[in-house]
Amino acid sequence: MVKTQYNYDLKATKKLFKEYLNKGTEKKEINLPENTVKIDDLKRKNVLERLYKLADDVINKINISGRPSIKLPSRSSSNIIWDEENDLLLLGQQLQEKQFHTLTSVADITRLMRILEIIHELLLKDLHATKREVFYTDVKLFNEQKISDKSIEDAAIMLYTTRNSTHIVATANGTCIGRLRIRDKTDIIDLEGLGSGGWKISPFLDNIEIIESDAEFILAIEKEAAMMRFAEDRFWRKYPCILLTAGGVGDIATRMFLKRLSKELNLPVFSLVDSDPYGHYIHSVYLRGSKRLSYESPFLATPNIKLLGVLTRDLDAYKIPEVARLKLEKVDVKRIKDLLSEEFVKRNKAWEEDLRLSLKKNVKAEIQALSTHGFEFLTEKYLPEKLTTGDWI
Amino acid sequence: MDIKLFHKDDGGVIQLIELEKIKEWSIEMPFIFVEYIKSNKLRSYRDPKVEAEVLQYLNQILNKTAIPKVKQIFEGSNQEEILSILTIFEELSETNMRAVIPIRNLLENLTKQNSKTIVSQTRKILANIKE
Repeated sequence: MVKTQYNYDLKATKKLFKEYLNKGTEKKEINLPENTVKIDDLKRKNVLERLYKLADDVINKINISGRPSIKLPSRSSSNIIWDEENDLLLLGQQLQEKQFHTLTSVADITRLMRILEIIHELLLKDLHATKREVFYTDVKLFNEQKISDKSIEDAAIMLYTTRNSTHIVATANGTCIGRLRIRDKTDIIDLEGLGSGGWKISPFLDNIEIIESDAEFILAIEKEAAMMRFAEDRFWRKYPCILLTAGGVGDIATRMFLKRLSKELNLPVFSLVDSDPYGHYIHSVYLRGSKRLSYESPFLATPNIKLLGVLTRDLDAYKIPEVARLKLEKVDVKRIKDLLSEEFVKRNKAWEEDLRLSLKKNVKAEIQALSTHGFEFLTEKYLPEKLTTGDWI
Repeated sequence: MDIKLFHKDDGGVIQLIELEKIKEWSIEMPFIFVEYIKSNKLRSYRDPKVEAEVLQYLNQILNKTAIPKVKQIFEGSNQEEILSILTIFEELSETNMRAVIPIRNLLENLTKQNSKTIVSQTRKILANIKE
């Protein structure tokens, strides 16, 4: 059997990369609206300074009134603001006050102070701990991990910094592979030379630095299975790119690493997800962040990410047979309707149309449905063709 | 800017970390980086103009930040600091001897020191990087 040889020049993607390179050299910083909380990604020394200042403030209040309290930005849904200009979910400036001496807040305050003590120890020793480890430092006090997790997030927002800056990290599930060289302390890691498995994204991102790349775009892939296809085909050798997957919704480290890659290297970013509402949701989390971590959005969201596929319209365009398509379930219909009610979808007509088309045709499909045309169809035809023509949302 | 750009004739772009960021690195890291790019990446760029530009940039890293930092310590009076830096470079010379070659002259000057410990440690490194 003669194998069809396709040749694509990725014209549209290269054009976008050039635009980003030109723009990137002009503007790097995001200007946040005035009514939102500004969070900084800080070095160890600076977090310690903020921690000492916070402790001094509490001591001063004790000396003056004997009834100390602390104020921190509220993380309730009423204080989450969508910044239309930057397409980010951010935290507004509503504050909540926690009193040290009231019965209702004493347990909460004690946990928060314990977390600050742990952060202090980690920073001094230049160590990192996972959220799970932090929970086990004081099981009696925290009782459940979700309680220590909440205190960790409160502590970070109280210090007006990212959670990663406090050296308390979540376990990372992402992997990355392709045209990229990074530094982890004094080790240089070549992400082209790690076989098909790639580099497991480190949760200790403050130790990671991008040192060299000749990539021209980044592809964020929903599924491990699809990533394996790209890895086996060594896709990045033919098409200069960096591939990344979190195996589902992007965890904090994966999103933060993607954000850094896109920001520092000025690369166009595309997502490849299932053609279903959950896939679109995964794309949206990369795009504008999650509501729970809205205060960290500027460090986690990649607002210029494009939805490359698999789009509903692709199912006909690429003649995906009926047997490889699935019908929407009740939960899918609800998710599509929820997405359609979101401002960031309403503002993107092509995205809205694709979701409506899915509803109208009552159809969804997995990325793997493309393999009905052969295992190499995804990497040799579908992706390169779309990257060449600019068929993305 | 965190990144320095090099434009290839075929439209490709090589992006390397900026000098300002490198200045914040630990003392041995710029040498490791320069050696890594020289040995592993330079030829893969397949563009003589870019190869020359990158090489020039790597030399700039060595001459503007990496070597002067070491020189300042070696020419200083803090013997404890000199010994701690020598320990770092001795370890490096055992696994990555080419990375240490750029400070050979500085090491040779150190062998004229009065401290026997410093001279002996320096000679070990020089032996490791002997080509």
